[in-house]
Amino acid sequence: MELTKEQIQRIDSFLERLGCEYIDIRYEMVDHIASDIENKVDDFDAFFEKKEMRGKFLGYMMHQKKELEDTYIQQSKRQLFLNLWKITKQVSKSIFNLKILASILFSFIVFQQLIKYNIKYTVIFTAKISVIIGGFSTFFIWQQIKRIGKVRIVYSYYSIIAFLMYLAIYIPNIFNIYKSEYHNPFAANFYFILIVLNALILINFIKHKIQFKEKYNYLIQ
Amino acid sequence: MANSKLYKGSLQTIILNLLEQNDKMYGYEITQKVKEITKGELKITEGALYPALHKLEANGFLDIEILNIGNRMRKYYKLTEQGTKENVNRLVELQEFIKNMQIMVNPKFSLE
Repeated sequence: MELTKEQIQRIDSFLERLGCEYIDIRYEMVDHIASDIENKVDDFDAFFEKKEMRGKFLGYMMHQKKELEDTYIQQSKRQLFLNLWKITKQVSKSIFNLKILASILFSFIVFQQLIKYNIKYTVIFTAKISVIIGGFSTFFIWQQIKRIGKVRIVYSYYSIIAFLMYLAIYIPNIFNIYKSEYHNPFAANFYFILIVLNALILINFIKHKIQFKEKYNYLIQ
Repeated sequence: MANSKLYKGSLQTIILNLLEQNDKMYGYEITQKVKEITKGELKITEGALYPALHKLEANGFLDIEILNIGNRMRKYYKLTEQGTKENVNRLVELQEFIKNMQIMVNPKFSLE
């Protein structure tokens, strides 16, 4: 005997409320719990009965709560660092591509000339570009999360891009870029680095997008 | 897991070895198999099993296969070629460890 779709849905909802937000972990936990219930329980309907305030199902889940939280928190933390490291490695590797390296070097030289030519407009221009690219990247990856679901690796990309977007807006504050005190080479180079990082991460994400879709195809409804 | 500190370092080897013998397995199946083999002496918790499985997968020792089984998805793990080699190495290491432990805790026995 197998659990019904509604019973599976109840396990899934419970885990979601518990904080298991990443679906690539949750579906595996759902299968684990469902297998355990199918293995131990004879009457599924009675087990999932909602009549009592504290039904058998809820009692079972509360009994597992600590273990599930430990599993989830442990995996999420570890996976976050693993993903950040993975993305950093991939981005670093992509820099050593001759075309990309040449493009960055060429842009940097041109950019230094722009700083010398007119620092005020260079800062304003690069600040705006970094916010536009940051906004586009954040929106693009967010669309993928909406499409695939909250998968850890995609969400890690989203977190990094959103963090770069935050830096572009608040450090230094984008609303102050018209003030003369911000018209210095440091601010200009800071925005330049943000643009390059953003572009590299976005290119890297697009390169792996098909791979993500294939890997998590089963989650796309 | 019973005597968790003693078993903790061997969990990945246990998983690799089980997969070597069983082609492909899913998480719950691994916990039940271990329980059955050890006659309930060793219970692997979700908190220990899944992080270990995901780490082995990230290291390229395990491959995954997702199957739709009725009303839900099930993730099966199987050994990669690299995982098979790793299993051999880890088993040798484990046997060496057990041998050394026997010498440490029972010197007389080991001399015989």
